[in-house]
Amino acid sequence: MRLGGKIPLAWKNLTEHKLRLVASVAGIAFATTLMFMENGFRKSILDSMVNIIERIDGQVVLVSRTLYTLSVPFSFPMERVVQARGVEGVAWSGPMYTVTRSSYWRNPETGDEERICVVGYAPEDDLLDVPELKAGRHLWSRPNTAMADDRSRVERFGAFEPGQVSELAGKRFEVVGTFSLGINVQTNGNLVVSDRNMMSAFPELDGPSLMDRKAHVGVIRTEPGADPRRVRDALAEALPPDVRALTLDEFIARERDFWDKVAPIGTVFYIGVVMGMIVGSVICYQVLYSDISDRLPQFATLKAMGHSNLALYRVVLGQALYLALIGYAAGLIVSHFLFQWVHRMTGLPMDVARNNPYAILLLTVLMCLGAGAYAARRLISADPAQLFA
Amino acid sequence: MSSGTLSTSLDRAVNRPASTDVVIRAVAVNYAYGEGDTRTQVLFDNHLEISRGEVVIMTGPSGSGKSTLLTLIGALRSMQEGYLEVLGRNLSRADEPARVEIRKEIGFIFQQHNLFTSLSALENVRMATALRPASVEEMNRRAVAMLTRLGLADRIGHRPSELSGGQKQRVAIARALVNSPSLVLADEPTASLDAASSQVVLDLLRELADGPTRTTILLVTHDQRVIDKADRIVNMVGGRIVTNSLTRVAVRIVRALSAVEALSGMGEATLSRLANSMTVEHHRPGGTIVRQGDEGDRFYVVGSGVADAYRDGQFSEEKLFGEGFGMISSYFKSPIPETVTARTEMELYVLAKDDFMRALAADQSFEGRIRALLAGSAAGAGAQAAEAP
Repeated sequence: MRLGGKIPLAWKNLTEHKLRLVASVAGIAFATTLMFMENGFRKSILDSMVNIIERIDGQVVLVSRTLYTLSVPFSFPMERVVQARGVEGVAWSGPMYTVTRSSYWRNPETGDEERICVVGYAPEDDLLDVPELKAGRHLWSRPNTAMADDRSRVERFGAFEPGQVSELAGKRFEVVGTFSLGINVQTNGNLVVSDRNMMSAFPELDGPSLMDRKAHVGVIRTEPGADPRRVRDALAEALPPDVRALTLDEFIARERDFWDKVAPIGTVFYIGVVMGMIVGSVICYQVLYSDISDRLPQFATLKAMGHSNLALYRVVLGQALYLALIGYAAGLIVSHFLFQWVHRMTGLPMDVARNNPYAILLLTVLMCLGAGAYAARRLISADPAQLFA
Repeated sequence: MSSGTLSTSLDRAVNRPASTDVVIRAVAVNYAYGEGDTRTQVLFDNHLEISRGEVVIMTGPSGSGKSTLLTLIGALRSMQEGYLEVLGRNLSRADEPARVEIRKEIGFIFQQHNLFTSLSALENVRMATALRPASVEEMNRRAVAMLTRLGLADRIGHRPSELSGGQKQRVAIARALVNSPSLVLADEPTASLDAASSQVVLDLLRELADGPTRTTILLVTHDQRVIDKADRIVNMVGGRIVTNSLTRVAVRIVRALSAVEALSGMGEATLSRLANSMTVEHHRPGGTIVRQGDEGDRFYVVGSGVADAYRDGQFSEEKLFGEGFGMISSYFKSPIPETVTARTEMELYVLAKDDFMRALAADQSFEGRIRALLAGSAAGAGAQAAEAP
């Protein structure tokens, strides 16, 4: 039996006092926004940490066995990349170089040197699936030229523009074009240069012969129809143990896992999400507990009339559910604008659609239902016998 | 414990239920709050039988236990000691679900209206109709009809904040009565009503009691206007029922006692107390009621019919309405002075020896009358006393 037949008591109770409703919804919206932001930051940071890897145009990669994140690149001999070409299922392989710690770009406006992430590969190899890089390969094939990420932080490097001349690692370089990739918490900007320019800027990567160069990622393109996992296994078997073969998906997952769990950026933001839930639960509990307390004699009267405790619980849980849905909607709108603002300010890839809106909805509903169920214990104390006192 | 094996103290005429269809049967009901050192007993050995369709008023000072008894009858508390049967259900061992079920057949009216401020008058009443589910149209029809009956036709869509105190109380009464309950328990239902509204409510309660549903009404009230509508008045003092009087029987007995020559001039209160101690006997024509020379232990007063008195085998006189006979030999040291035989169907009001002795102890005016009788001629004392119960 439903309490009140078709009388929506939960909704009526919730919406009776408009100001109180606004305050309650604001509280839940705040908690929802907090969860969105924390989860958004977590996801955007994890996404940003793999935004280069995700654009690698290959199915399998070789990395140093000691590599734990590409932000701290460990190298391996270029020879392994060449050796890989003889393994069954491999159609093509090429080296990619990254320098993140010792690479500095001089800001032409301020003259200050700022650390920047530099990725190098042969332009004709198209190792990164970035349209601007593919289209402009004839430009950055030239000596002492670089393509710059236009999402790099302007306050650090100034605005990258074609024709701009400055220094990379103390050597004169010209920006010949821009592309859009995005920054992360480890780097404020990105440059892509040719393998020759890479050796020129960072001679420590070069060796006496081509085979002695220090590569950081070996990009493997498999033969059509080949299973990347089989190719990975074949590479692992054929190559010496100083390298590790991974499918591209595994490489992405490892990198995300490192920042998510080992770093542990993900854990920090998870705690933020949990804090959001706790804040929301406390707010929701206070709202519902206060409402139940105000209406205790009415609920006691319903109990006296023959309505069960379960029926009264349903009313409070209904209120909690409505509060969750309205608060979530408000939090979603606020988060949408906040994400846009944060993206503009930091360049981090943030938007609501990519940040588990359904998961946050589920968390919000669980948060409010949990708080509602806890607050509804107050109903047990509604003693109808007291009404005759 | 089954009701059939119970011994009750309800042997007085005025205590007995108005009909054999008993809906409330309380036997030796005790109740205490707290445990151990803090245990406080508030009900002591209470017996009560109320039949269907009775309007019962419970009176008594604050703390007399009437509210506790009411909450037990209303299944709002669990029983501790004694036997309680309400609407055919044994509440002595009823668990919470069973008590919730029986409460659906009871209409509760509290001093406080306890209406949901978020709901309109109609919606508040509809909270009760959901306990007897029907189509929405049917539930609305019942609710509107009851509100209209209580003079609230033009306030159906109003919220409690838009109603006067009396109107709110009438909505609460409509909520209690809309399901045509078998039993109504009310706590000062007319306290906040004006004279006209009170009359409407009292007429409605009386109508329910006299109507086809034969609703039993149990009211705690000090409103003198309500007393006129009552079938029974129950007075409690110190946790005990000290008066339990079926008013029409009490009125008949008092009327007969006031016609007794020896009691002429005694106040109504004294006669009422005496009436409360008397039982009713019915005799068929030709039956001998008392026999001359026997040891007697009761006095009789004729309520209706005619009897013939014989002394030493000779017709002595007729015994008509308001005349007494019989003897309490142990007190008056005299045997029954005459034989009395019913000439017609007779209703006799009987004062037994123990109740006679209690009446003597409790009432100085009654004792005075008896002493005056005893101070008369020794020869005629027994005969005269026999006419003066």
